[in-house]
Amino acid sequence: MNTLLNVNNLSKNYRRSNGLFSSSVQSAYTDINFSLEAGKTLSIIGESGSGKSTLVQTIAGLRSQSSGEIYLHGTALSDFSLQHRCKSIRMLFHAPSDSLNPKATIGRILSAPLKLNSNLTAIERDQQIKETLSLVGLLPDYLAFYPNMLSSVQQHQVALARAMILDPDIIIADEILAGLDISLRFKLVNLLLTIQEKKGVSYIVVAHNMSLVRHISDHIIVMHNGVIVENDTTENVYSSPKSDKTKHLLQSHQPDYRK
Amino acid sequence: MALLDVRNLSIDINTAQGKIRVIDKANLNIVDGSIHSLVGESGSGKSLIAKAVLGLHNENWIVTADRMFLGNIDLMKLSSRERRKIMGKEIAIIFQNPRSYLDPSKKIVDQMREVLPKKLSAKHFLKKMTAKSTHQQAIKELLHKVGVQNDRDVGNSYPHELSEGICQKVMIAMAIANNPRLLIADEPTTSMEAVTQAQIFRLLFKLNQLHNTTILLLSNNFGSISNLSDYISLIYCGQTVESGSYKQIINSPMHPYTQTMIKTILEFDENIAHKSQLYTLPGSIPPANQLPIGCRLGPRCPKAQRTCVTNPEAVNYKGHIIRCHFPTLDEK
Amino acid sequence: MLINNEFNEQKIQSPLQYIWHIFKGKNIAVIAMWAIIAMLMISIFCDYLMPFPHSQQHPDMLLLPPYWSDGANPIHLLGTDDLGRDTFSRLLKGIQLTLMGALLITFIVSILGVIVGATAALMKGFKASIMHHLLDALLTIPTLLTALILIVLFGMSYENSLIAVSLSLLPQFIRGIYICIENELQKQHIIALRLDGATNLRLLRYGIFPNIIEPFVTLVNRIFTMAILEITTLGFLGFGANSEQVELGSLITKSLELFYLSPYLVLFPGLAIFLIIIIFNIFSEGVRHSVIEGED
Repeated sequence: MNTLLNVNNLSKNYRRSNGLFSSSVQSAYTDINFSLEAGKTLSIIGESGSGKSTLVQTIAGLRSQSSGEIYLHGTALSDFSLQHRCKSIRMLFHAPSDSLNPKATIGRILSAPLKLNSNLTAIERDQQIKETLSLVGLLPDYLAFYPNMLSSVQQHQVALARAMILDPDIIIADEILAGLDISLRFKLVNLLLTIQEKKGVSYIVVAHNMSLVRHISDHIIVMHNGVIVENDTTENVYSSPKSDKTKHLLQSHQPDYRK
Repeated sequence: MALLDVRNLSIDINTAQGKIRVIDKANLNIVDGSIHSLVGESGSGKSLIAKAVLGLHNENWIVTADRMFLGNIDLMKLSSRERRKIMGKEIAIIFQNPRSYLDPSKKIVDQMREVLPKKLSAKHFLKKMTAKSTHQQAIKELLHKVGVQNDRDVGNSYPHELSEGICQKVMIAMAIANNPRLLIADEPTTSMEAVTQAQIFRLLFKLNQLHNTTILLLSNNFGSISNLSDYISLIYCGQTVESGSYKQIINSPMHPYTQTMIKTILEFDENIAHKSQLYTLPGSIPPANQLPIGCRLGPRCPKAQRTCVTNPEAVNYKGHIIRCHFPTLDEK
Repeated sequence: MLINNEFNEQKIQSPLQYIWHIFKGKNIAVIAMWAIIAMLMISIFCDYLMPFPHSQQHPDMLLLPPYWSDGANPIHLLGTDDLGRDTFSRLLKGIQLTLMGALLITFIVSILGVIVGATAALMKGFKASIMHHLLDALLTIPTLLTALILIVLFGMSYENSLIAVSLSLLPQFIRGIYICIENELQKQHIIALRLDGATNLRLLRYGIFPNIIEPFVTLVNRIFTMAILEITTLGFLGFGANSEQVELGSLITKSLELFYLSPYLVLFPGLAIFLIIIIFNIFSEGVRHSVIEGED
């Protein structure tokens, strides 16, 4: 398998002013190295403040790194045009009620990426939109609706359609399961797995729920205070965790009180 | 001994679309000294039941029940003033998003002082001078009880300076200040990280073991509370579908909804292949104005048949109560 | 607005249709809207509605009271002034000058303000910081003072007073819009739109403007009210319209000396100013509340 994504020595620092004249340098994450293959899922776990959100936002293109490089298909991301980058890496946000424009219809939300990043005619665009909607399990009737008319799962489906409509290589999911009940999480996870099978897209998932993480990921990265403390396949991480932090996380997920 | 006995509780709400029966003949029986979990997804009505028991409901709700007894006290017959007295002494409640339930403009010590038992607050001028140290001592003890070690720092902070976990512990401290018989926890750890969740649950467990506080835990996540509880009740769309002890529910679940909930605990199932489709009920939770008639799980239930349009009666198998026309009965 | 069966039967309304639907239910605001339309009609067609030309003098009918008092001549509906000019006609002309002037100012300030404010909000880095601080500094100067200074520089006339008032109100509007747009830019759906590859123009048109209707309405209302007040104040102080041009503020000034002889000459222009402001504000509040309710 060709390596799809390669992250080398990525670091991000930012200045923080302590008072009038002094400032200190704080690091969001340091020396991040990992790789991702096509059609596989990578999960990044860690406590809040460990830098995982900042890291995935950098990969998505929202922020820039201070040093290090990200390689996609062997080429550095900084050499890509914004358009090319948008098409290859797409992002799912934590709260779809915030990430979907409340004043735009679903049809407009989905046609925007197509208009901006491809040369399809109007008819071809319509076709692509309808296909993507059926891929995520929504009827074409929803095109005229506004986001606040949909349930939270349906909003996630629309966000997923918006991500998939450009046929990306990687989708980054930033804590999308957190706000949902368990049965809805299962539905969303099932949908993600189906799409991965059909289209071969890779996922980078930031999540908390350890049992779901185990189920969906091929590879797991554990972060703490901005550094990677464990980077291994799912099986190895669960059967023989090397770092104390990982052990702590695994334990707190299924504590045994008495039974 | 039943601490809280609620039988056939129904709540009707008048809306623009007519009268909606949001809670339909719910039953709840909490044994003294146990941890009882009421599990249901968002919108299933668990908070409504808690509010109805406490008397915190709106005027335009119509609350009817065959029985609503707290120990020996009939809650239905109390006036609102008497209800409030009971609330202060016998029942305490903690909520989701603890930081929003604390006064953002006051320090923690000031807020905790307000909930301390009356006998500690002095009316006499001379006694007031010594009262401060008694207060400090009482607050310190309470904070230690909930596992906050640096009570001085926490006490002098404002709520926005503390993490959600500590805020929740402070709320629990304020709740147990008066030694209530029943502590209702309304989704206390939703939207918290796994590590913090574990801390809060461990604290609740400790309170139950050491001080014999009965806990009614409302949750939307079956997996996180299953290990913790002595008794579990499941509720779907305002109907309590199954209830029983931990062993009964986990070893022999009878209702299809319970079986689905148990399947959400992935650790129990060794047969789940990696990256395979997970088991879910088809369809989604109906909105409040489109509730199905009879058994509300009907449209989604894998075992549904025509009889399911009538409301099933509750059947009791040695403390394992089930409301279903087609339960999975084990050979006993 | 959750999905239920009703949506299969109802047509889905766009946000604007929904806001209009809510607005129609607010009776007072709708009355205010009709009043505004009436006033606009008066302003546009005032030349045809006037019974007499506003500067025509009737030397034989000086200082007549309005038609409901004794000694009145019903031809002159609201009486005459000390030179025999018909008060009603002068009032209509005054409304035209004041109202249309204020509307013109509001229009110019809004268009320019949005362009400058949006450009400023989309700039990043050092230049944006300078712009922001400059706007803050301009805000500290009271607008009336600015208008006065400008009109002294330009020379006193009605047209110049309009220009001066526009310039004095522009910084306020720019700053208001700038803050609105900046707040909106932080939102997630804008970030998502950026990741879709949207140009700034597209971002503004589809992402930002539909979502800042409410603050925009508030700002426009404020600008209009301040415009009316400043035009009339400048007129009152004698810096705006001269004696030929009959603007509501200058009407009041000229009639002040005659206050004891004929208070109506001061009353009617004052009442007109008051009503214009109140009606417009009621209308804006109605629109604003409709927008807020429309967002649930």
